[in-house]
Amino acid sequence: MTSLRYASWSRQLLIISALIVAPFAIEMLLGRSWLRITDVALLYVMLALGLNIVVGFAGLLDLGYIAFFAVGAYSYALLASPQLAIHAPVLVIIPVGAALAALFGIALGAPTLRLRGDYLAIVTLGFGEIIRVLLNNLNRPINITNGPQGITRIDPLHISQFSFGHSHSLGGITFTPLHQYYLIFLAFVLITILISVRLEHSRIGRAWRAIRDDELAAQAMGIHTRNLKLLAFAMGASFGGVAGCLFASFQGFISPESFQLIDSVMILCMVVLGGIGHIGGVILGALLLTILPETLRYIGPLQQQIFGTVYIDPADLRMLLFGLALVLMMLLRPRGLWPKRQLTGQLTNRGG
Amino acid sequence: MTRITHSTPLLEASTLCKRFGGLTALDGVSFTVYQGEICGLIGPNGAGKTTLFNVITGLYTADSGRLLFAGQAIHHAQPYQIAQHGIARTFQNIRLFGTMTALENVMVGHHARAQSGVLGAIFNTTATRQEEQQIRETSQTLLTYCGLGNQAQTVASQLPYGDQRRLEIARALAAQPRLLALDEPAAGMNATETNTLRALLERITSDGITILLIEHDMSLVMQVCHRVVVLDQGRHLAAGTPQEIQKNPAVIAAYLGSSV
Repeated sequence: MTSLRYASWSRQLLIISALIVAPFAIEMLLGRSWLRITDVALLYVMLALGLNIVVGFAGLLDLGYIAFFAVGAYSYALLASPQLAIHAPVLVIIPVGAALAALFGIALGAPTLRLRGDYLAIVTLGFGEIIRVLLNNLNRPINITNGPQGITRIDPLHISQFSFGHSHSLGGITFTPLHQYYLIFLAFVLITILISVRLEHSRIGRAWRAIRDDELAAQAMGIHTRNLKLLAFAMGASFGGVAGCLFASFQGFISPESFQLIDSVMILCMVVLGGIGHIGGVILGALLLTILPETLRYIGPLQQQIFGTVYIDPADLRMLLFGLALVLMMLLRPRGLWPKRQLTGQLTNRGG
Repeated sequence: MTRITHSTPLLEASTLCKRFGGLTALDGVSFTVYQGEICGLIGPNGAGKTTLFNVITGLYTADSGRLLFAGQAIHHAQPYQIAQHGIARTFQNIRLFGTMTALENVMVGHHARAQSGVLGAIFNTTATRQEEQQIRETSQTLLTYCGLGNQAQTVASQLPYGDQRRLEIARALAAQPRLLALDEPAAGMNATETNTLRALLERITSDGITILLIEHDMSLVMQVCHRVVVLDQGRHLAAGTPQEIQKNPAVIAAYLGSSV
């Protein structure tokens, strides 16, 4: 028993040290731009895990999830930029961003309690658009969000004197801002994974799955479906809100353009492609869908090299291949790339 | 008259009415279920048996009438509150949590009797872990009790039909009910499975849980029930021991069609 626990501990230690070394390897082998992509990928992992609580655990189809990311990002931007001339400490802003996003989650959940599936998807889609349009137009009569121009010169993450926006060296190794953001994002991702895993295997997680499988039977078993659905919306939204705060601090600039319907769809794709309801699958989906489109950027220069001219615009090709990948996925692996084991068993049974 | 020895009323319905548009599904139904008995609820198709179940378990709200459970009014309670009061049910068309294992289904049944919340789960507190462990053990015991001990890790939707019906009973028992309401538990079962079910029902009552049973299998009803209530076209038609009901001309007329 103790040796087993020791083995699992040493394995976890190995994984964590590999994750800490990873940014240096990525920067050395692939260059700085890929380190930046990795940082963004970690944010998407957080977002996908947050959406997975709503869609995967509780079975509530949400097509406006990016709105909570926007709420978090604007919370940070407004509380840490010259826009409102407020520069609050990070340790205050992130909880505020999470709480505000959770509140918006409840605001979306409360009127949609009776809706399921397609109908819920339509309302949540509208909600996502409402938030974006609101952010676009809250620049008059009083200028709060600065409208389509967005908010600039957002403070980088900083804890008292330590700013993530400057390089620091420790023991002869220089940590650039990208390294530092990688580490803080990684910490948040690990916390998100821990919370997701624990919720999934708790009384709450079971109740969510019961609601997903059969809401009526869940009620008859004494589950307060209204409160638990609102809880799922609030929990999922708060993850999105925290990711939004980190995003705003990382980018230093945000505008409503970063929070469009296509971004909600993209996060949903990460959850569905990876394996809906399965934490490992969702992480895989988020990483793949962030990294793969970036690799397609090399298609343009490649064409130039081979044919001497660019026949297909890489941006068009990206969407084309993305669409093709989605169709193939749905045909070949409808439960996702890395689904839960139980569900595959059920699927083969249904086919027979 | 072989009325059960101590006849304390557990569930008392008085003049329950439920209309759906022009259809009167329940038309002033009054009846009583006594503590410790197996009470059969029979009637021809469309008599209002399942509607009555749905009113009792809070899925429908009665248009008028009263419902007392252990002396407390429950006709305005939500389904989740009904479960907390101590009424658990099964469904005519099986409604298990299809993607979950048999064990997990029974664990969900404990929901109303457990406390641990979000923070307990996130911080994985000792209280939460102990409660989970206890729920897991009790659930396994309940599966064994219902004859599903070796099916704990099978996904519910993959279980054979008869096992699914018994799993619904195990799940309902997990809520520690005082009244177990079973909606056609023997439907679609063969003779052997029905016999196993009968033994299970008798065991549940001997453990002190009252049963309200909707069933079309008359031989099961007549063998197992202490008392039978008959509904016809939303009305209370008769009540009495199985022997009395079998001889009641009004009941025979309702089932076979009257010549009058």
